[in-house]
Amino acid sequence: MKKWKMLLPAVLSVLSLAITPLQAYAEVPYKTYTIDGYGYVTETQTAYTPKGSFNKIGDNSLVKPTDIKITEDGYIYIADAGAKVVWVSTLTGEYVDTIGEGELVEPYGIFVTEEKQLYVADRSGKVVVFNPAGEVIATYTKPNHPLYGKGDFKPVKIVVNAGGDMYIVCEGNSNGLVQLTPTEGGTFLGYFGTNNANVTVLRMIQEAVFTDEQLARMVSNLPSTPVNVAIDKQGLIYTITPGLKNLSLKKLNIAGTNLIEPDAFDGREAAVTVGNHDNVYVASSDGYIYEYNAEGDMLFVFGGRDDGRFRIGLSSRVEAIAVDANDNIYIVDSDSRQVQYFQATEFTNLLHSALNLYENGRYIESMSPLLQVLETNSLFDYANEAISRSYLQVEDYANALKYARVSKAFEVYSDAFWEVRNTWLRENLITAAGVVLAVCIVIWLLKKLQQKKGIFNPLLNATEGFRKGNFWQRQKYMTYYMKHPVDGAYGLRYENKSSWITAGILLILTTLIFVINKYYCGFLLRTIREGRYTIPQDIMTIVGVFVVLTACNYLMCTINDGEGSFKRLFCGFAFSLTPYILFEPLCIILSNVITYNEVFLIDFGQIFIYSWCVILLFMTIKEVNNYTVAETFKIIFLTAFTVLIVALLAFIIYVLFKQIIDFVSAVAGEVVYRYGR
Amino acid sequence: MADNKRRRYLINGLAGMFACAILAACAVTSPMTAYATENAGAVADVEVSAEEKREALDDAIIENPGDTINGHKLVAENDKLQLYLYEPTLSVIVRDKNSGAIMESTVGESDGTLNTTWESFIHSGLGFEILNGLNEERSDLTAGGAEISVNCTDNGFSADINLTKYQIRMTLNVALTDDGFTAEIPNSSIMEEQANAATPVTIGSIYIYPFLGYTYSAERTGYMFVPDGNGSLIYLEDNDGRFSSPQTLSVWGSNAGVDETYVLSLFWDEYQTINEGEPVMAPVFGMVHTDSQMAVLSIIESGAEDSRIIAYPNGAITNYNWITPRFTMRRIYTQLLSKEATASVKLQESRHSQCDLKMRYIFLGGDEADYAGMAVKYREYLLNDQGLTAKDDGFRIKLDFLGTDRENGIVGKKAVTMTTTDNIRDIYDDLAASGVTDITTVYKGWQKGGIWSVPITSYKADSKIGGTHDLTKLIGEAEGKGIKFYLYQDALRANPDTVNTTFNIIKKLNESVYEEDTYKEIYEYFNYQTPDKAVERLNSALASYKKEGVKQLALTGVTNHLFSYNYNNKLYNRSDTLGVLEPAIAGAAQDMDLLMEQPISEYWSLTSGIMGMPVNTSNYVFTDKEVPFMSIALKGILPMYADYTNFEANRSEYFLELVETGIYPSFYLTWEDPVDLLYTNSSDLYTSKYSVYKSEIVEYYEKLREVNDAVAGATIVDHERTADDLAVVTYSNGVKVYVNHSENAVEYDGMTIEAMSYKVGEVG
Repeated sequence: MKKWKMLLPAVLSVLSLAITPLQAYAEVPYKTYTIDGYGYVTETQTAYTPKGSFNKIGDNSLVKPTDIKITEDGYIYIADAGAKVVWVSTLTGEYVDTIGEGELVEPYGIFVTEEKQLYVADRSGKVVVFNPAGEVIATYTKPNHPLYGKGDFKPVKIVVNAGGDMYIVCEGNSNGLVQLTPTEGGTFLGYFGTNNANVTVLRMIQEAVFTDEQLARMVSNLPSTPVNVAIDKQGLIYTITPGLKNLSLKKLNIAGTNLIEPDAFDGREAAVTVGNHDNVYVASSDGYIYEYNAEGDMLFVFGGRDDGRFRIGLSSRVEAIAVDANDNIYIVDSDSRQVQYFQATEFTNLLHSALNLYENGRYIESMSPLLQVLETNSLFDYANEAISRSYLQVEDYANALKYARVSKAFEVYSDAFWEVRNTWLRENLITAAGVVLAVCIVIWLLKKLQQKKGIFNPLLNATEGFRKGNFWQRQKYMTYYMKHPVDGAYGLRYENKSSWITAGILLILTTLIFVINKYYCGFLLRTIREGRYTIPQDIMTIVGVFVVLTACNYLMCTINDGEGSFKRLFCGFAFSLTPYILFEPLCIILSNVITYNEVFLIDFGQIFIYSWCVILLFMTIKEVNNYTVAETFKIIFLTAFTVLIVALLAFIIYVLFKQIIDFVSAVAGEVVYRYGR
Repeated sequence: MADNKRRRYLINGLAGMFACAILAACAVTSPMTAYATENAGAVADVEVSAEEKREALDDAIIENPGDTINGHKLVAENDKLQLYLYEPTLSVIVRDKNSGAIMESTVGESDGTLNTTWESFIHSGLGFEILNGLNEERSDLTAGGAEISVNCTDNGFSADINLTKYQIRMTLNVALTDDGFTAEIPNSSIMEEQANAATPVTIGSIYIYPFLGYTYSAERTGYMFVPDGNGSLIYLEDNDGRFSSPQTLSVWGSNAGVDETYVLSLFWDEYQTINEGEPVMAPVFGMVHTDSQMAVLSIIESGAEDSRIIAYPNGAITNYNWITPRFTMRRIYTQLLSKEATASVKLQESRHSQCDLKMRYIFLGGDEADYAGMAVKYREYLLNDQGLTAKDDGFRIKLDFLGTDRENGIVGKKAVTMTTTDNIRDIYDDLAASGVTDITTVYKGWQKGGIWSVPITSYKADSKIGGTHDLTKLIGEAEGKGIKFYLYQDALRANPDTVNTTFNIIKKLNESVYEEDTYKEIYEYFNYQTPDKAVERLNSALASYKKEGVKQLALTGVTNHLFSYNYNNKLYNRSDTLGVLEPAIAGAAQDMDLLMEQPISEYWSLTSGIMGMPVNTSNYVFTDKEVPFMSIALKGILPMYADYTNFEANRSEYFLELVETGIYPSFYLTWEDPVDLLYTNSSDLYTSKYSVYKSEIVEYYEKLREVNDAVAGATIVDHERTADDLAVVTYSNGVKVYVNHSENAVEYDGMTIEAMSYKVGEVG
């Protein structure tokens, strides 16, 4: 035994160099994405390349690494819950020191202050503070304070602000971060950054109707506990809580108010840290690494699960993340028991320099790096948005408009558009007024000529047959119906004022306008992603809804002494859409020239159109069937119920058919298989 | 010798309990590194002393062997090598007569940490995975109860093997060659008597000399060469239990007909975020013992299409370092009986792989015994034995253009045109004014319907890029300017949105239709055509090209995909696929100048260049060092074009790699801003505008032209990377290229190479 121990140092000194060497240059195992204005991710240049990994600090293998912190002068502190110590190493994994041997039981979280004091969150129930020499200078245990409650004290992550106040993530404590101040051996200041309980509609109904026993059996609805925490130079606290969607990353000020809402989230967040450019990094336990700017806009996401591929840069179970002064990212993986590090690429460095300038309000200076970023990736959303704001600042509105449109920065677009429109108006007002005047004069002249000389008479004579014909008269009836629904319905019933063709044309027009509105209304009011068209579905929706509603309504009317036939109802409903057909096009045109300042015009127009249509529909049901108001309401409710039944029926039939097809194909497959054998 | 094989372990008692159940690895002595191997699956952490290293090296060099070495008898000999055989396990030992260094093919005396299955396996010249009904079991000559009769031949031996336990027979022929030996199992010799029994017993896979050149833990120095990307090395050093699994590489890429072994985890349940590793283009691997200066280059000469190369660094299953081919003969697969996968049965493949299994081992000694020496030998092998002839390898910059793609319009699809024929003319003129003239172009998305309108069956250009007539004119003009202008054709994929894919597309072994997901919106997936149909359509296109005088074609799809498939209830394997595709591609190569995308080595003699040559590796955790093995082998005889520079985030480092490897640069260009492609299937092309890249193209052209002109026509004879991160590449014309990858200036050969830069040395 002794003999080989003497031989060991020589061997081990060689081994300590056997830390995975720097990779010269290799195919990156993951794609990098950024986010677009709609919240969808698009691929972009590699932001960080995996540079290497280490699973040992000197000669000591990592057993269960749980946390990592990097000081500004380039030392790495790694908490190892398996080895029950905190390792200190250089940036490349060379051993420097071991802290807390014999003192720590389950070190899960660490924090290093600027004075190099090391705070360790020990899951066994204490927070231990070490001085730079590695001696214990304080130990804090479970706060003895009535407000703390009865729960356990299991500290797993910790940050400390400039004043020495500790913010501690405790396992299983749903009240939030435990805030301790060092005075009097650890005074409990209260809970910080508490999440809200997740109350769903279903939950509310359950709570209202369930018995106490049933409620007791349900999974308790406590707020989620943050799992990790970070602090920036200004003392703002960042927490992450998986499953809270766009509140999973919070940036909390001293009062505990959240300042951001990230536009992308993972669902399995595990670690958070603050970068050197007011940016924030979040790592999910699956190994996806997100970088956000100070506002919570996602810049990059990359990485991923290893899944047995054995590629450097993919992870199995991420516990912690840290960033050094050169923007290298370090990821602690407790499953593969190693630390992987990633290096920022030239592209990312460029983006960071733009980020620094832009976030500090130096818009004009930030334009050059931003344009460079855009040259290498014209779809990089953050850069597009930032440069559109910069152009707005330097009053280059045409460019601001262009980039805002690409990045879907609606506010910027609106502001820029206002300016562009203003300029246009200034330049073209006289001309436009002239044109309007000219048109008026021409119309006036033509009218005069018609009165005096009847120049349009040949045309009128030629079209007289058509204009007086049934078709045109019925079509024109829509405007009358719109203004006089009661008389209009009478006309439908007794004067044969409509036909299938008339109603069909109205329905086609409605569909057409609906589609045009959907795809060609102004950019600011558009509710769909650009470049996506679902025309067949749109048509199906409009026609389907109209036909089903009419049919259901008709069915209900026939069994409730209604006097309307299906044709009359159908035509009446089609006529009721007239306000939409006549006025919606105006809204569409208007929507293309307005900004957010005038958007109320469109809103008002929409309310006007829809109310009118609803009133007409109501009057149609009432008058065509000769109902009272009360009967009409009853029929409307019954119709809604019928629609529900029809939908249910369609669904059941669909499921049954699918089952039958699956059954038949399975039998056929089995027959083929048996026969083949 | 026996003594030093008894190992001591650094493993604590607790860790032992976790040690993988199959391995029963539990020799406990010291709690020195207390938590060394807590995670299971690995074996004991072995510490090797300097003394043991010395002894191991002594054992590996045998000065005066006589007729036997370690129980092996001399069976063949030539000027350079001696071949020794131990009949009961068919184990061989090869001895370099020059240096006395030996390489063994089986473990002599094991370290006693393994269970019986593995213990037996490491002592056998052949290894098997036997399919016993639906169970797969590891076996070997001893465990299989082999009856072996050996007949000595002039230069080796032939062994008839009867695995009595499974009633399986085969013949192994081993013959000494000038610089190594070959080992072959002819397909016709494999008999599986119980293949049609109620519970069929057949061969799942075969390992030929899996432990050839093995080493124990860190006992020896050297490395394994793995053909990942351009080439990677795994050092033979103590891994401290870092690995619990071996590195497995499918030769000639993965098999679309067989499900992947790992679970595909999608980002946000939607996006496939993982870049798959580089495919293995050539079935070659190696083991180098640097201490005894002996290396073996292993080439799978036959049977590569259904083989894997598996490298086991110590810690992965055993404490040995070994690298082996594994030939898959049959698989167990799941056949779905209904579309929803509610019913399924498991089956053995009905027929085993139909190719001969042949390994060629080439041994190197002295200064040649390194990866560069192996690459040079591999080049000689390609030229002398594989019919590869040196192609025109003059420097060219590859500028590819995207013609047109499709996005959804309000009715139907709408063309998004990026680069028309006129745009290309303008670009050529513009570049010629800057002195860029030696260009290779691949024009993608030229065909009617845009880039994803595949397969192409005739020569019809999209009217949006200028139409067929104008394209033909452009091709003629390009030829006049000395530009190689290739039309891009994927001859494998079929787009279900643009062509009828009811028939003639492949199904996986489990009978489900193979769909290659694009994770894009316009065309969500592609099917693969059956080889017959692919060839039929390719031929029809070729006839059409010929009529119009188009002679240059950039071919993809069929060049780098081989698959097993199910069609009309019949199973076809990769050999069948290769058997259909290869003659067709050979036929095409007779009339046309073909440029292939990542072609498998089988097609190298048919192509005039390689597109998408990996500059580096796939970044596996196993990789200790990246080496330009393929570049060394192919530089000077086959032009290699790299992946697109556009998408490289670290341009300066990438440029140095191009200088070092001699691979030519590629750019993917469009005339319009690629922002227009946002709603197409090409939405991942986020940077490509010509005006942005012009200056970079000129710079790359000028600098790389200078380097490559200095070594024009020459091949690489040596390559090394110094401790200072300086790569020194020696060419056959005496020119040396120095590439400094480090952040500091490096002094070498009396000159200073600045940080992150390169120098071309004089002819010395």
